[in-house]
Amino acid sequence: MIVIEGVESTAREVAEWFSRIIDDLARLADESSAAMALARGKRPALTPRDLKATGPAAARFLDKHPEHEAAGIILRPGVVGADGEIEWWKRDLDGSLRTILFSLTPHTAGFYDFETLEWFSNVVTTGRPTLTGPYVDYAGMDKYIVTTTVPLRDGEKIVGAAGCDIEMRALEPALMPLLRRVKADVAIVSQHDRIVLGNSGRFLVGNRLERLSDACHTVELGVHELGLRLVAVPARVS
Amino acid sequence: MGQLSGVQSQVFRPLPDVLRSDAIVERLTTAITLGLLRHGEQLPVENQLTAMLGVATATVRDALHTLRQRGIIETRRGRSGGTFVVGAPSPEPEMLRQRLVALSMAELRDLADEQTSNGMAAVRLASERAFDHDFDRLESIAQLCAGADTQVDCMRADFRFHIELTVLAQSERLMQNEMRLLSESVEILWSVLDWQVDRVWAAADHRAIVTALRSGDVATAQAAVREHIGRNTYRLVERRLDEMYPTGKST
Repeated sequence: MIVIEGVESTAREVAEWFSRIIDDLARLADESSAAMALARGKRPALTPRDLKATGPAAARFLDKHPEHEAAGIILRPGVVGADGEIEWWKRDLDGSLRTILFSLTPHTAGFYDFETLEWFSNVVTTGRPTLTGPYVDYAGMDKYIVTTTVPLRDGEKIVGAAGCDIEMRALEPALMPLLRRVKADVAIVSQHDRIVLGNSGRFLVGNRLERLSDACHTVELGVHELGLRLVAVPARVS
Repeated sequence: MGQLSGVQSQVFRPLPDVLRSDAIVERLTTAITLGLLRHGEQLPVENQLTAMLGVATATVRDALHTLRQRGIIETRRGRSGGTFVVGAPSPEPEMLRQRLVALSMAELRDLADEQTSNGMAAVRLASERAFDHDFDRLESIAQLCAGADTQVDCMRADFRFHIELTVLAQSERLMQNEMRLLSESVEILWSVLDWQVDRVWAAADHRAIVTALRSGDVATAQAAVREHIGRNTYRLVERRLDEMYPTGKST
């Protein structure tokens, strides 16, 4: 373990960026739950129509985080309908808000089996915020993205997740200036050792982090339990 | 419909010269069958389609008319109007037979070559980039073929496996290539295979790829990909020969 100048302060700034997202997702979850409860009124159960009431909360999130592609909520099977529901909002080019279609019926074309995906399963089983990716989201957004999710609660019960997607090409300009300030090769690495973003050709997005020598400086970002860390090694002398 | 995802822009790439209206019908039918266009999804408007597909307005109209008649799309008027995907196409044996017959031996071999190279590249990258939990998921997808109980289910399960394998490579480009290759081939393939028998083979091939990948054996995984595609190509070629040259060795 070595110490590289600027790594600790950069780690704090990167951590703040992710913390703000988690905080605002928690707000999105609370506001969405409240909006759905209001729409449901005295009826015993939610209907798909009640989910439309979450639009304004998603719009507030997307306005605050315009680099994000989409945001919304996912309800586990049984809360509304047997297959679960995804109310995932994005801005169109003209600025209007719309939901994205998913195929949630098993055995149909393009079935989106979200229950088995980490960003859903981990949140509903552990109740902890989760960062998934980067990954190619087939049958979902069909793009190369990172998904961040937090639990969505009805009282004490976890009924699903609230989350957001960011495209990798949008994440880069949001965080790269912070990483470029460090005079060393630096990467943001996921809990599974996947490189989320790196400031040099040594750390390519999506690659697994190679085993590094002891001559590196690692800082746990400590953003909830996302498991993110910053890894820095002296730049290669060319 | 707003922006198109990379996958969907593949659906609307310009068409070759022959039989353009039929080709549009075919391409959209395949896209809906494979779930690239989802139930309820809105199609681009007529002049967008014309521009994207690179054909005349009348050609697009012809194609939409045919799809409407088959109950696959529906056009609604008014403020929230537009053309929407409303039905699931059923496989049309005659259309698939024509697609197979239209491919020369050289083209079939070439298609297999490109599929093999894309598959082998995907396997190598997946081996570098995937984690154990990815392989768990892929393994359960590998079983889908064996449990499929119609020809269309088999075809979708096969398609799904190859896409999800490519997803593990973390490459949008490889995934788009795979999507295009499968759109060209997977329906024809399952129209030629005997699904009740061949689903077992397909599932075994898929499992062999996952098993090799999980043990970090790229060479064996690549050989399994080659063998899988080779087996399928053999069947396509044999069927095409029987169709085209019925007095050949099989009689």
